[in-house]
Parts: sequence; C-alpha cells; structure tokens
Amino acid sequence: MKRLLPVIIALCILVASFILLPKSEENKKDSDLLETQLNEYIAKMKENGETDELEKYWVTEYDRGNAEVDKSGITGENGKIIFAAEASFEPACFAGEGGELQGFSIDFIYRFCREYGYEPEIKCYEYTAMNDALSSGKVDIAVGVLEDEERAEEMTFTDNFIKFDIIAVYDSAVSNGFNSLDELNGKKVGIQSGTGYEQYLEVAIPDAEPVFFGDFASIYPALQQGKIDAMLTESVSFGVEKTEMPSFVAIDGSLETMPLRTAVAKTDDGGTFLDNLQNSFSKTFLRESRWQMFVKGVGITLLLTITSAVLGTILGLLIYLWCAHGKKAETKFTNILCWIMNSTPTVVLLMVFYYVIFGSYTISNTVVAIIAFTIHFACIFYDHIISGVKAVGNGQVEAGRAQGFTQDQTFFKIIFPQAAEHFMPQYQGSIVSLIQETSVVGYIAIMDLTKMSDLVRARTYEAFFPLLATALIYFLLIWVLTSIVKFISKKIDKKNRKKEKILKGIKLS
Amino acid sequence: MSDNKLIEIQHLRKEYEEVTPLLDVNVTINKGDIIAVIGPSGTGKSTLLRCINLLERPTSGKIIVDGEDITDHKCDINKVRTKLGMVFQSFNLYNHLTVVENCMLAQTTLLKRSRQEAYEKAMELLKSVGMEDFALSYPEQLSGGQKQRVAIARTLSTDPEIILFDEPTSALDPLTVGEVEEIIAKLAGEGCTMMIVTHGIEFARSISNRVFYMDQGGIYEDGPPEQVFDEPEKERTRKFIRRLACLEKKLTEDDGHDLRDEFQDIFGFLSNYKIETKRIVKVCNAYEEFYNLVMRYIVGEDKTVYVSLEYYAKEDKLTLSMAPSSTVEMNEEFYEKLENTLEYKILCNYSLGYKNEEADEGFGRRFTMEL
Repeated sequence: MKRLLPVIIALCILVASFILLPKSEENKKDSDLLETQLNEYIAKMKENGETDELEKYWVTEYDRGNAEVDKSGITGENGKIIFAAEASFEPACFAGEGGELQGFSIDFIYRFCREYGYEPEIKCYEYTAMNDALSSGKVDIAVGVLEDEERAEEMTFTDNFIKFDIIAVYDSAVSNGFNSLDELNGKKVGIQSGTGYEQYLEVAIPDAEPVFFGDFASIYPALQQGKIDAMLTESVSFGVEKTEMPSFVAIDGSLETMPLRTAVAKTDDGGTFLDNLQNSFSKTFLRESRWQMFVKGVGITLLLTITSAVLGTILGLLIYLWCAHGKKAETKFTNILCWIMNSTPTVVLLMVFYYVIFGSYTISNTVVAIIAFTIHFACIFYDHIISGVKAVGNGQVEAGRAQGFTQDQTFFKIIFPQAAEHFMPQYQGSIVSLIQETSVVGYIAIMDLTKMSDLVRARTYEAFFPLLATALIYFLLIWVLTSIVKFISKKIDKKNRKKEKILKGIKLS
Repeated sequence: MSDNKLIEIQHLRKEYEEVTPLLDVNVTINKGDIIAVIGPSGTGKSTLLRCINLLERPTSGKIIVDGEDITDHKCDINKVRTKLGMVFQSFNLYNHLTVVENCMLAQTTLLKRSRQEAYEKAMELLKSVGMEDFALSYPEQLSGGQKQRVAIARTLSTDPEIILFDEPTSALDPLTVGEVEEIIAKLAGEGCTMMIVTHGIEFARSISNRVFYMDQGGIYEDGPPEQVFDEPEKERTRKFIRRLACLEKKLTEDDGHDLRDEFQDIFGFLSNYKIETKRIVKVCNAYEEFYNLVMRYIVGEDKTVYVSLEYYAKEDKLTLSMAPSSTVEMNEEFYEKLENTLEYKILCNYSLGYKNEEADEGFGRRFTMEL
C-alpha cells in the first residue's frame, strides 16, 4: 500500500484540480428564454427592415475597410451572454482595424444585446467546433449557423437573420471558364469539409466530383494550381474574395439559397446514459454506413505508415552506406538534411512538400505524403544506425577487415546485426511515432483515419464517440504494428537461435 | 632464398599529427621467422604490425607481401589480408556469433568453403586450443584467456601465411597469460610464421628465433634472441633489457604499514621469470626485513628509500638493493652495529651474500644482497 502512495497523491491532486476548475455550466443561461427572445427580435428586425439594412451594409454595398459595427448602448443590466461566431469569415465575423471584431454576425449580436440589456462576450470558433461549444455550455448562443437534420438533434435553431447563395467560382487565370453550372459536370469541385455543401452539389450538379479540404485557406491554392476546376463558396463572402483574387470569377447560378440562423443549446430531454451511448454509436458508425469511412481511413493510414516505414528504412540504410563509402562531404550533406527534417514539424513539412516542392506538378497527394514521410523516416533511421554502430565499437571492424572482409561485408555480416540489437527499441518507437504523425495528412486533403473521424464529427456534431473510436483504432493499429516489429526483431536476433539452426547443414561425426 | 621472402618493408614511414613513430624502416621477413617485437612504449611496435596488414596506411614507403605491393592503390587489399592473420590485445571476437561460427565465418564467406568443411576445420582448431567444449557458447560467456584462444583459432581458420600478434596477453591477468602463451608456443613449435609484439621477455626469448628491438623511429636492433637479450650489441638495447629485468620502487615510511602491495608486484614480476614460489616468498621476507632495518636507522624528516630488484636470467642471479636518497643521513650506529642487529642476522639467513658500497650519484650508500 505504501508503494502506491505517490500514485494516490497524484490522483488526489488531479481530482482536486478538476473540482476547482470553473465549470462552464455556471454561466448557462436559460436556453428557452434566449430562444424566445431571439425569434422575437429577428421577427422585429424583418418587420422594420433591419435585416435588409444588414444585408445592404455588409454585402451588397460593402465598404471594405470602413464598415464598422455600432457597439454603443450596451448596459449589461441583464447579465452576460457568451456568443459563438465563425472565425475569419469576412464579412460575417472577422478582425478589423485594431483587432476589433466586425461583420454582420457581430452587428446582429450587438443589436440583440442592446435590445435585451445583455453584455456580449464573443468567442470565435471554427464552424465545425461551434456545435461542441454550444452543447458543452461554453457558449450560450451560436450566430451564423446553417440548419440541418443532424444538427437539429443537438441544437435548437431560430429564424434566419440573413441569407446567402452557394455559388461556384473558377480562376480565369488558369481556365477558360464555365458559362453555367451544368458545365461543371465531370469536373473537380473543391468543398470545405464540414459545410455539408456536397449535398447540394450532388443535387445541382450530380456528375461533378467533390474534393474536400480541411480549411478554406487550402482551397484557393488548389484552384490556382489547377488541382481543382472550381470551388464552392458563399455569395456573401465572394465580394471580399474577389478583391484578393481578381482573376476569380463566379459562375452564374446558385446551387442553393442558405438561410443563416442563430442557435441555442437543446435542453436535455433525458434519455439514459446507455440510450445516449447507443444513439451516438449508431450516428457515428451505422447511419449512412459511416463505418465504411472508418475502414477506408484505416486503409489509408496503414498504407502510408507501412510504405513509408519500409521505404524509409531502406533509404536510411542506403544513405548510411553512401556516407560510409564517401568522405566528409557526404556526411555533411546528410547531417544538414537530417537537421532540416528534424527541426520542421511534420505538418509544416507535409505542406511544404505538397504546396511548394510539388506545387506545380500534378501528383497524387498520397504519393507526396509517402515521399515526405519516407525521407523523414530515413533521416531518423540514419541516426539510429549511427548510434547503433558506435555502440558496437571499432574493434570488431578491425578484426573483420584484418581477416579480409570488405567494408560492406564487415558492415552487413558483423556490425549491423549487433547495431540492430542496440537501436531496436528506438526503432520501434520511431514506427509508433510515424503512425501518429500520419494523422496530420488531412491537411493536404488525404482521407486517413483522423480525417475520416473529422468528417464524421462534422456531420454528427458530436465529439465523444468518433474521437474515442479513432483513438481506440489507433491504439489497436499501433499494438499490431509493434507486435510485428517485435516479432521480426526476435527472429533476426542471433542469440535466440536454437542449436539446430546454428548447425544447419552440418553433419556431426 | 627469394622463395622464402614473405614480407618486404622498404623505407616505411608513418606520420601522425603529433608524432612520427616510424621514420625509415627497412626489413625483410622470411617464412619460418618467429619474430618478437620489443621496445619501450611509443616506439611504433604496434604501428609496424598494423602497417603490414594496412590497418594503418603508411605515409610513404613500400610493403610487399608475398610478391604483391600492398601500398599500391590498385592492390586488392582484401585478398592479401586473407593471407595475413591478426590477434588483437582486446580479442575483438564477433559477439553475435557462437565460438564455432566465429571460426567459420571467414572460411565460408571469403574462402568459399562449404559449411561442413568450415565446421570441421573450426572444430579441429578449437580442439588444438582447448576450446572445443565451448563451440556453441557466445563470446560474452568466456573469460579473457578463453576469448584469446578462440581468437587464435579464428585467425588460423583462414590458413594465413603469417600471424601478427598485437600484444596478445597484455589485457590478461597474470595467471591466464600462461595458458595463452602456451598456445602460441605450440604454434611456434609447429613452424608457424609469426610476429609478436610483447612485453614478456622470458616468453619472447623462449619461442622466438629473431628479435626486433624498436627504438628511435625504427628497428634499432635486429638479431637472434641470444644476441638481443643476453649480449646486446647496441647501447640502448642494453639499457632497455637491463631495465626490463629490474623492478624499481620508491618507498617512504608510510609504506611500511602495509608492504602487501609491494609483495604483489614482486610476485608478478618474478613469476614472469618462472621463479619458484618458495624463492619468491624468501625475497618478500628479505624485502620486509631489509626495509625495517634501513628505516630504523634513517635520521631526519625525509625517510625515503629507493629499492630495486634485479634478475639476471643467464646466471639465475636475484639482487635486492636499497639506497636511501642522499638527503637522508644514516645513523652513525648503523654502520657500526649493523652486523649485530637481529634483522641483519635474519637477513643473512636469506641471503647468499651482502654488500655495502658507495652508490650512484644522488644516493646514499647502497646496500645490496643476493637472494
């Protein structure tokens, strides 16, 4: 019992800190009241033409750089309300001069608060994270959300306060353009994952091929480099986009008109823990056969990991031999390469490879990822070999050479088997790291396990089950891979051989 | 006699950054030569050996092994190396292979012998060095002496023309030195050509038919053992040989509390010369008595004594000398009453003779006795 004391103390500290952490629940306002007030206010705005005013000021007659939200008249006599708005989405919510938040969502928030005597606190979230923020009580109201069936299970939507069209855009600098939406049939169309716009694409242009990107900022370069033929965007923000990229042209026609609403958290309508669990499970895996997405994701993750590990090991070995046979120049070059590889975060490395090095080439993003991971792993393995060889020492090298073995024979028959014993634990660790590092390939639009989990999360709007499932699957994958590596290392360990193996092919007298 | 020429070394020079151990070495090594390479440290003994199989690349000069010039860059050194065998001070066995595999690896890989052939030859060699029972053991399970014996078997497995021993027993404790020296002596007896860098003079004398004394950047003296060890022709050789057979110590009063360390050194030194234990014990006792005697009669603060134990092998003569430093004065009584002291009487039982004479410069009188 005494030996467990440190563990018990650590656990107590952990529990205490959770108890002492301020709960976001404390600030939870009555959702029903807010819902009523919001609907009431929006109806009023429509009646007295404020919604039209909003649209005119921020969209049709948008004066970029000068448009400002009127933030006066806030009394806060009825308390504080925390709002969620979509980050960096001009002209809905963006940081203007001096970092001040501006945009029509912000404008709506301040008008609402003035009317009901609230004090606003505005938090900016990624669109797909807004639901989590609402359901966990971190915010009271989400502003600028689109309604759909799945979301409606988690949040209550109000009426809309503004609307926009989904349009398709092409880059006139790289393409001759399209005269109508129908011409996009058979073409690649970029969509930000989590918006759900693929549903409307399916309906409006059934033979178009959707290509998903993690964030909006990744879609522009893809369009400019010709990796996609067109991209979907919102009519409200296109005006802004055009000022940045004058060569972008909108194709006539709207895929769908989208009303932007506000939402409050759904009051818990009960259901046992088990019921909720079951519901989450079915939403994550069963609905729309989403388990297939997970399987595909696992397939990609395994492909990336195993290919990069195998190729990286071989490449690392080749680099080592190249340096061993060469002189200072080869070693110096390799050291610089390894230094660059090790100093760059994997995500950045991947993006550099995809957008910069292979930017102007049509090359599958999976191939680019494999190349990047292979080179990275090769550098790591090279360091392993160096340290393993050093641990073996120079004596046996001399003995081998003195007997007449060539440099390569000495390395492969004498030194390397012993070096492997030394670096095997680190090698196993590197494999585990590799599989974990592949989880960022979603940044270059590869649908690996993590990315699939993201997509599911974006559709189901809950975090728990997909994340837990993903973590579990990674755990299993790593377990299997490390078992394989351990098995292989046991097999090649010379000391584990039985007598028969050692004396294979020998007749004893 | 050119048939007999195995290795020719011409104007060999080896420079390092700080030092040049070999200036201009010229020598021919013949088949059947059993060469002992001796000399003070830093004189290039190991360097010479390692140049022959090109583990060190000479700065300039030519080395011709079995008709092939290995210093030529076009030479396939790996082929030549299979004819040369080397045994290292730190054994350098292949730790991931069993003992028998250590002796098989070069045979199967380089000489392309079948595994059966290689195995049989390896077992034969292991038997000859007394290690056949350890065939399936791994090097880490063996003691130093056992490892070295395996190393010798491994070297022999490729049937080399000459074996180069680089201080084969320097890393072994005195008791195991013997077992390895026995193996080497056996090989010498079978006519194996070899070159041994060693510090064991008696061993070198007993097996070699040629001795290189290295000094001053090359082979200072080259001759048969009777010459180099017993009647060296050159001055420096003489000094070295003499010094080697001499154990010198500096003792102060504090050492008297525990002379056991001294006895260990004496034992180690004299066992080299195969002197029987009874005699060594006598020497140790005489040492202690002598020491007490001299210490008792030193006057003054600085009680320091220089001791030397010398062995003259040719005449089997052991001489123990003690001389206090000149800054020390001996009590007058010492000279007068010496012969009456108890210690002296005891010592006389041990010694075969005693002398009291003027010592070299810088020392007081020297007292010598033969044991």
